[in-house]
Amino acid sequence: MRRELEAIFGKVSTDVASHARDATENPPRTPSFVVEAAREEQVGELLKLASARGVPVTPKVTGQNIGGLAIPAEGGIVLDLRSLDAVEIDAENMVAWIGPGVSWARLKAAAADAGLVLGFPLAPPDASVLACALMDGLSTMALAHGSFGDWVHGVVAYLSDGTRVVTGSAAVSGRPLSRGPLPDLTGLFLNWFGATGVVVKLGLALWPKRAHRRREVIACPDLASGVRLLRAGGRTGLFDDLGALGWPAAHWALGVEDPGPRDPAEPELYCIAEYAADEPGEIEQKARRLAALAREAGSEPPLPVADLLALAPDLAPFAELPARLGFLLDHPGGGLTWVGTYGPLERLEEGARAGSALLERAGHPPQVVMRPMKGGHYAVLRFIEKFARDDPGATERVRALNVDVARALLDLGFVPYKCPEVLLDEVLRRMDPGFRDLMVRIKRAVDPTGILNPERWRLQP
Amino acid sequence: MQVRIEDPPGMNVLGLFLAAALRRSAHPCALAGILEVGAGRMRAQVRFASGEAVVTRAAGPAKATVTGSLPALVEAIVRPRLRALLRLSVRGSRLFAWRTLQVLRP
Repeated sequence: MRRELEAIFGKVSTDVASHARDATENPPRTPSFVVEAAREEQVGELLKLASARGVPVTPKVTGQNIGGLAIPAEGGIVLDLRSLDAVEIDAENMVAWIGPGVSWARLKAAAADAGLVLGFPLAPPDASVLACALMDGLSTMALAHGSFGDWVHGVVAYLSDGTRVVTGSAAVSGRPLSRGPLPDLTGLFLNWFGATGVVVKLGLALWPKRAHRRREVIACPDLASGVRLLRAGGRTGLFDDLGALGWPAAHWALGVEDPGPRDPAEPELYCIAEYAADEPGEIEQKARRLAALAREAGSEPPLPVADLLALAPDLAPFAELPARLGFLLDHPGGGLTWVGTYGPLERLEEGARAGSALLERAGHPPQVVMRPMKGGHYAVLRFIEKFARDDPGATERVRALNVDVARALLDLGFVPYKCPEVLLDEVLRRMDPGFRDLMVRIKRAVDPTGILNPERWRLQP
Repeated sequence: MQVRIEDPPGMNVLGLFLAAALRRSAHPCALAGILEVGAGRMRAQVRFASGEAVVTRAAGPAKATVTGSLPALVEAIVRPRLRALLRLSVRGSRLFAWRTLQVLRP
């Protein structure tokens, strides 16, 4: 196998151990081989070989999905896609063709050169845009434009037999301007985590750069007032983003590793609003509306993030994204995990209380993240935990906690996104049997040898 | 200036902001006494003595007390114009309050 891999890639990395696990509590598994694609054709050649040999393949870029989704199959092949990093911007149609290796920082710069912008997740600048989009992540423009899955206009992917597939309008025109009007097969690769094919190119929507952009923070005394603000602001159509962070994040960012208990007088939630406009009058109107919404929700007036930053430069990661959130990624314990869900906006407060209570009972600061999505059609509700990754007891405890949190949120109608392995049982148990059967049948059709990231979704016969 | 937070895990975010501002302050500080700051419902105190500042939830009777909303307080520190200062309420020594706000200024 090694010789055949060398024939395709030139060399095979011996560093398999570093790919065995990530920052999360998801179970580690060691691959036998790690190869790095320099040309997209190599992906097809590899998949043909792996299919013939029945060896699992896990595509990977930087592996920072916080869901264990790039942890490979034991004895399989890790396909490193970092070097496929071409960017082509169609400024007129506001879309980018990007390879897996294109980072947030790189796409931000390329988009800016074309007078365009995009939103950002709380991911490091070097993380892969394509991976996040395929996993339906969210961004600072998610209220206006939905999760990243909604931004994908088509892909170029390789199936397990090496077949190259183009989806969306690009299947006919070569240009990724829309998912339709053909049958929407782009969805075959969204949220499948590499179990149906390896995507080597993705068409991603970008947005016009506005002349004025503001980012303001609103201190909300309690969850109820914060959620009132998110629900009312979410459906105004005025803001690109209205995200809320629980109180611990500010403490972590300001250097307190283990905050709590919270001073009851301290705001429980901080909402960050981002909005833009072409005219000064329009941005002032949005600012006034935000201030009114904050007042009506019982929160403090908005405060420019830039002012806060002048006072406390440690908060810089919240001011300009993408940013490396060192307080999450570089803490002494090294472990980072979350339960992230999409669900009903009207159950947000209830879900936030339920998850926060579980985290506090387990000795974790109740770090919640919430935001209305896509004009307020649904909401994100996420809980973040740091833990000591090398402590098996701590890892087991956080695993159990995440299952408990997921159960509580699923009961309220929230569905995990970037669904990690440890939550799969809970999700599969509640899944419509017909949907599950359709997933299995699709998997068999596009990956009959079952080599594509087989640990994801447990679709093997 | 040496800056210390008493009980960092229990300190509220206002105290953490004040400590962050004091740590990166380039202004010379020869203050002595306690400043109490209120932002919204939060309270924190800074005890200045011998070139050291200790941020606490409650150190003792304050020489001056400055209160306002968090945005008003931040604006008064970052851009200390009359409009911003008028949004704050000051009790006790106005001179001490003014001098401490200057020390906190970026």
